[in-house]
Amino acid sequence: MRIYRRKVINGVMLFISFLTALYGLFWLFWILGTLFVNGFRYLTLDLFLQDPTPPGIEGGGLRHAFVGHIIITSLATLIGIPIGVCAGIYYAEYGRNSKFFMALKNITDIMVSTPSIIMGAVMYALMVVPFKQFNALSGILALALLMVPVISVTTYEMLDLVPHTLREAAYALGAYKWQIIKDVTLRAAKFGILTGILLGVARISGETAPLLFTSFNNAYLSFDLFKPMATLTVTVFNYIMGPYDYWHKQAWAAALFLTLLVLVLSLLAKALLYFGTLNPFKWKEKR
Amino acid sequence: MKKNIEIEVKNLNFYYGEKLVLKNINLSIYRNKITALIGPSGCGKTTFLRCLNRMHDLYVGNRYEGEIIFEGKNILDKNVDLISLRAKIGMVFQKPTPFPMSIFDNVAYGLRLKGIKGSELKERVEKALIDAALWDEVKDKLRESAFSLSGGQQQRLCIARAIAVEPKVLLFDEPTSALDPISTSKIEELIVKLKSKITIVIVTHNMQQAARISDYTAFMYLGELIEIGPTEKVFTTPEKKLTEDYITGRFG
Repeated sequence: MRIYRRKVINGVMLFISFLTALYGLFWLFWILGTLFVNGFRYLTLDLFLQDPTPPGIEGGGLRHAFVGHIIITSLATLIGIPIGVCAGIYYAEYGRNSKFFMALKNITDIMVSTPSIIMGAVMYALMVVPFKQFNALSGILALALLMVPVISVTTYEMLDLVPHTLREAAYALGAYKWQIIKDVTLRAAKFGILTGILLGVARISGETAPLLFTSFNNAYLSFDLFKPMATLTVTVFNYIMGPYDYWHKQAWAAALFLTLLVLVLSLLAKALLYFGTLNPFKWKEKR
Repeated sequence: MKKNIEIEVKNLNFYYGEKLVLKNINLSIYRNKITALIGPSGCGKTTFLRCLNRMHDLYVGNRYEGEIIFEGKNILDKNVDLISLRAKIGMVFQKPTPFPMSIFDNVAYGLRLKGIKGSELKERVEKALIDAALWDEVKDKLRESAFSLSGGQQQRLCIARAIAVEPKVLLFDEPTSALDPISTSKIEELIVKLKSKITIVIVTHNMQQAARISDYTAFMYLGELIEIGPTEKVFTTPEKKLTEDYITGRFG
């Protein structure tokens, strides 16, 4: 009798969790589907290769925004990776015994979920107000600031997973700490750290808020880091709210492109982690 | 007799934070002999073993009192160079700990730390693998990942890695407790063979293992050294009642 009751409860709970999962997936696929239906048609070569036409004149593309996006995200990544990885290594290998650094680590944990617009506001105050001009550099720094906590927390957690006995074994051979970090722990955690970096890139490549009042926007192709620079996200934001039908179409296409980019990055991160932990030595040891 | 002492422990106390876990340990470890540490779980055998190469220093809040004399010096002194101490007193752990690199690089790791390169490096790696009775099994796949080996082979690889740097003392922390009987007997044979060159201290839960391979046996209980003596004597005519009870399986 009791077993029967437990079976019924099990069935009911399973059904409820199935429904909630369905609810989440429904909206996800609805958004993706709408994006695809509205955007795919306008994902043309011109979109990538043409600069915008003057407002109101049909045609043109978003080359300036693609170029600006690549410049801003890649420079932010270049700044964010070393700082994030080094901070993670420090927390995991040196700061572990210090209350101060563990408190810092907890603050970093919280910073991972800080609303991104706050990073924009910080950079607005530090980099835009003093120069009295929106500039690409402030946007780059805002994105880098956003990325550092994500990377450092993942780096910390991946290094934390490396068994202590592995470190002890290296100590027992007479290795210095930096040698152990370089040769043993970083090697053991490298796929996880790479995953963290990819997730960090995915995080910043879809951000609009921190760029709105830092790198701002630009209707022209620009390579000047001290001037405003267009990005895909901000351009989509502006075009969607604009009056012209062809702007809307281009915005849909750009949004689809961004979503696919983030999707690919996330899948790549997942695949790396999966194959990396499954068999860390799938790749051949080179000498 | 005094000459043959490799390590002499005098009045050793050890604290984890405020907690006293090793109480006034006094014992001698003889050169080119195997000393086994036995006792129930939590009695401090592993804690004691890890004092001998100051492994506890990696974690905060640990404190030693007393003396451990090795090569005429107290290794518990503050100004002891732990890097060179650990190069002389190696350690093999309960679970195999291969590094995430090739078989060759694993054995070469400690040698490279000492600055050994080129043909000498190759010779020393080969010699260590031969001494660890692993050479025939791995000679054709030295460039492959150490993770491709079985658990028993990985443990012998770790022994090869430890003996490659030619330590004076090798500490074994339950080296066979994660292995099957065949791998275990191979490692036991290996340990007995190694004692001609190296002084060995081994922690084991397996009393038969202690009886089979060791020359001296120390019985520990609740952080105290109850009895130490030649293995045959400890197992046949122990001086203390507690030792007899443990060995005959009345507790533990």
